[in-house]
Amino acid sequence: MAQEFLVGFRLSEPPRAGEALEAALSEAKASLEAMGVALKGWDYDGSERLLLVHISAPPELLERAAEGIARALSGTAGAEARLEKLSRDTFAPARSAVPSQPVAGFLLRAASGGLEGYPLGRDELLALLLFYFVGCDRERAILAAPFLGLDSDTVKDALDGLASKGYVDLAKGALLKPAERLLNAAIPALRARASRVVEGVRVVDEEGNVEVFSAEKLAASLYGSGVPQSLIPAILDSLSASLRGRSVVSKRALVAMVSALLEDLEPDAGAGVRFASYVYALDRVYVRVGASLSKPRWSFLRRLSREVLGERGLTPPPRLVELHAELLAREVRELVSSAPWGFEGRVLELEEVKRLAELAAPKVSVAWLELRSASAGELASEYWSRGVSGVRAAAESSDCAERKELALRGVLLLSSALLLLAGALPSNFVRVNLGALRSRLSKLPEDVRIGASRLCTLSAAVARSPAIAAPRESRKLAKALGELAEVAERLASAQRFIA
Amino acid sequence: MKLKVPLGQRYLELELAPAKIDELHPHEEVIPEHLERLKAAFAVSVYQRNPIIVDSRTGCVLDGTHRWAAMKALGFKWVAVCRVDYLDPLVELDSWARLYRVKGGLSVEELLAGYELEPAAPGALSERDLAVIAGAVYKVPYGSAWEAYRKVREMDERLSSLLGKPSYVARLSVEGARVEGVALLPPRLRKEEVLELSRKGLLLPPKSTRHVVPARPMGVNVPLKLLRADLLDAELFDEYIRQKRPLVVKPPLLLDREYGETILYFS
Repeated sequence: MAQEFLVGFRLSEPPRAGEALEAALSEAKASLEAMGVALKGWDYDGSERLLLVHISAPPELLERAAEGIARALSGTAGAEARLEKLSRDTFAPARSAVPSQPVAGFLLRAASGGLEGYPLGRDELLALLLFYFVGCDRERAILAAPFLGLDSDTVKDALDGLASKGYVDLAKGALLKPAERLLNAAIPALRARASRVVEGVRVVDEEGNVEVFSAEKLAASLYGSGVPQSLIPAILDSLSASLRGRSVVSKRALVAMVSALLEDLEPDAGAGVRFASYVYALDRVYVRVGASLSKPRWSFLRRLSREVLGERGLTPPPRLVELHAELLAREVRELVSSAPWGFEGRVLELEEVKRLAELAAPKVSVAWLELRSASAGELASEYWSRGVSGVRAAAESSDCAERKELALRGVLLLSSALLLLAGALPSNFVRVNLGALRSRLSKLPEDVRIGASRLCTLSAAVARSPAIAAPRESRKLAKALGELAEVAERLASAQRFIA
Repeated sequence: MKLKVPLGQRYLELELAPAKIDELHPHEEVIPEHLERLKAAFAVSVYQRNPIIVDSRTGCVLDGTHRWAAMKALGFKWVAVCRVDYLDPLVELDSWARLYRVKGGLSVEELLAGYELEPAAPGALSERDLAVIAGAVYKVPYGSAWEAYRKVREMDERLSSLLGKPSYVARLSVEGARVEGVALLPPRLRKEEVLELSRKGLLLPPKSTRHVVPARPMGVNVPLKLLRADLLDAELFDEYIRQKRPLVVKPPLLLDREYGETILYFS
């Protein structure tokens, strides 16, 4: 069972630069993950040359984890690091006082919103949520309270009140049935407040391509065109109001609405023209291919994406090609939209666009980059072992958001390993990988197929599970993770490629 | 930010806050070399790593006198403090015993000639006694706490010049234990005496009191640029601290020294 520890290192000399320490620890983080050890934070005291690293690991792996960190410090930061005895057993047992960021964010939002309509008062409901999210640990709840804008005494009194009302058992550190029922209803309802304002509106472009409206994508385009960040929320809010009740909108209308809003908000900045110019930048760009010029239409970009992503001898799934082409389009737009007031047209060399495509490739598939120095088999094996460790670590995590994060990383790695085995290039996205894997199940060896199919189903369930989970959802996720680990182990024993 | 730290069945209340540097009062003198080292360290640092522990009622500095003095000398207007109710029984007060190695065959009567040394039975010492242990046990009579510590300073200077610098250990750990060489045991003060001396500006010698606060925040890393300003926005300070995610580290923790208390490490 993983526990939290502080590990100390005395550096023989100051690191070459502050960034060198960061880089070394980031490298160590990746290698520790493969062992099922999470590096959660660090602090460096320059005057003592003492580096404290916060890790979560099963006690039997502590020595190996410390060696891994020391190796990274020596290799990347150029500083010899001596393991420092921090406690009687070298490693100092520690415990996070405050829950992970997504959970803390949920509680902060809950505390700032209305909590009416529940059988408990506001303070009691907040205390109950906090108690549940810190693993039903009364002391931790009281200590964490001020970091979430709550008063420790209020939480303490509220917990005593909840105990007397039969909601919690403070001595055993457990939720009782009425609390579970309440949380099963309250958490999904409180979570739903964060759902997107505009949902399900389809956008049709000039070529007839249809996609679902994405506020994130629009925000990225606004940002890319140079619109001040401070204006972006106002634009998204106004646009949400305009789109309410519509099921479809043309891209041109959308661009027109946004341009008009920008002109209203900042009439002297020319931001409306710049935005439209950014969105339609591809219409005014030409790519020289041999003796002729081509417009970088979607078909052209997709072809180029497929070619670049296919350089490693693996087939890129169609959705991955699409994502890469979108990214490439953004890179091209940013390259040519640097003119302050639109532009008249620009010719790019094919090599230049290809270079942009290569730079964009790791952003959608880190495997594409890693396959430069490793074979597909080696990478699959590494991903598999890291994936299994990730799923196991997730199953042991007591913080629901942290568990979800570890689980997601685990299923991403497992699905990537299976895609590599099936001759396909994995992406950085679970959903894309699982879609691609389902369509390639028939290409997997027979002894893997059934397990891989089950792995897809379980992975999809894990990926869809909420990060801020109610008790019922939490149990469901724990069950799925348990089965996922079993399936992964069965697959490992069935398949020789998995070390 | 007010913190309630669970300690078994009880809670210790702490408050992390900025304090005006001129409104705090030391109760011990500083060691000049140590002060210079810290001033040099602060001059190149961007953070105050650990808050100074002060009494919430009086502003008496309980732990961190050198850091306070270094920051004051460097012109800081504010300092990050951890306020604690000094009179809370959870906060313990002991004194630091001085242990000297004896070279040659000097007797304690020769070493401390001129001081009144009353032989005492082993085990008959009370925590209020100023005592010397050198094979046998001796009590040194005194009138007031201030006088006792004036004697401690003089005896320490004499013994240090003859035997070299002492090592410091908790008085509690020396009482009843076998002592090699010479041990000088300053009396254990009462908290009210410490506060009274501090209020009057009567500073005790360095390493007089040994405060054990059962929970201690560390690694808060408050940017020094915040503490240099004439005016400090307390809300901003609070929010800065609130974004941290402390770790509760079980004792003992060995860093620059051994910490026997629960540490809240704001990594």
